[in-house]
Amino acid sequence: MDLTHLIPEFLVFSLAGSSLSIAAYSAFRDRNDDKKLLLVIATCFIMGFLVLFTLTFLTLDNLTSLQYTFALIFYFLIFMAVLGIMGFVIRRLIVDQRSKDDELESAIDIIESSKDGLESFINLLESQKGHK
Amino acid sequence: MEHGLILAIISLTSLITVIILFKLVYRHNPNCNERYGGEIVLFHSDERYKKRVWRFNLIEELRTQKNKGKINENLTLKLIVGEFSENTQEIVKHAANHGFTSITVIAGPNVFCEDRTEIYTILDKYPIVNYFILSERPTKHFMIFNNTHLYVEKPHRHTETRGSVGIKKCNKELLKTYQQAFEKILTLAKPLTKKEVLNQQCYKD
Repeated sequence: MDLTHLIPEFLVFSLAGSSLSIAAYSAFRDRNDDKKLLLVIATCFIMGFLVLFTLTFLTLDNLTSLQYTFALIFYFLIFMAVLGIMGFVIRRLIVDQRSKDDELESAIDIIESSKDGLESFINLLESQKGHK
Repeated sequence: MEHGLILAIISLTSLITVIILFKLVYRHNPNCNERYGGEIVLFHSDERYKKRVWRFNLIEELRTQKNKGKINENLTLKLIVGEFSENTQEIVKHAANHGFTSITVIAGPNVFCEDRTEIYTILDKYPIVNYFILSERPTKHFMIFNNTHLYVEKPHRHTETRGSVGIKKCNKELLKTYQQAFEKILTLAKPLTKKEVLNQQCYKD
């Protein structure tokens, strides 16, 4: 069996896989590590797509120069789209990381404000007890 | 031949990228800070269920560790809350059912009227639960799980819920501050028996 026969199926699979996992990522409401897994899956698919895509480019032959130009434009556009998807994944990861850092900061704020007030509350109780 | 080489390079790079992504991105990576603790989780005010589950899981985790012999001392739970409300009761009951041998609850002078019989039942059923009240409603609420883990609530009024923070493997210094505060407050608190609970002051709506 020739590998080139498998290429179209694989292309469709990988593209569908990546778009489905990104769609699932958007639909996933709970913010946790599993959500990130979907981004990783999308990246796997898109990487697979990239490899196959290069393969199709390498197997191009017997084209006139006009056909070749159009094919090149097509390849360029698709390549940009793939880069766009990867950019999206990286951006999401950065945004997630940033919101995680913000969460840590506000968690620390809560701890600090709670800790600072402990002593004064104890003093208040002690002074009340003193009055009685 | 050259094509094959390019393809091989691209395949390998893709494979490595994917492996790196898995390693870096998909791993349990909780927030941590040396000054505060090993695993810090922030809960928003509307995540009531998440807060509950986090504490329940922590209690179960502690019991498992105790059963495996990783923890030698008895399991203790110390709480300071605004009032011994439904949420607190659930935590206390869960802890009592999961091998905790000492549970100390310090709360404000008032309870919700409908909770009084439930508190009576808890005190009746679990003698390990000690209930104390203060003359003033405490604003700083926290829970210390077995002297290692801490759960701190943002100050709030009794009619609302606010965000809170859970810290696993809490920093020793930080925990010490809370432990000492708890001990001091405990000396100023008044123990309440189950009979007294039935006549405890309650919020009028």
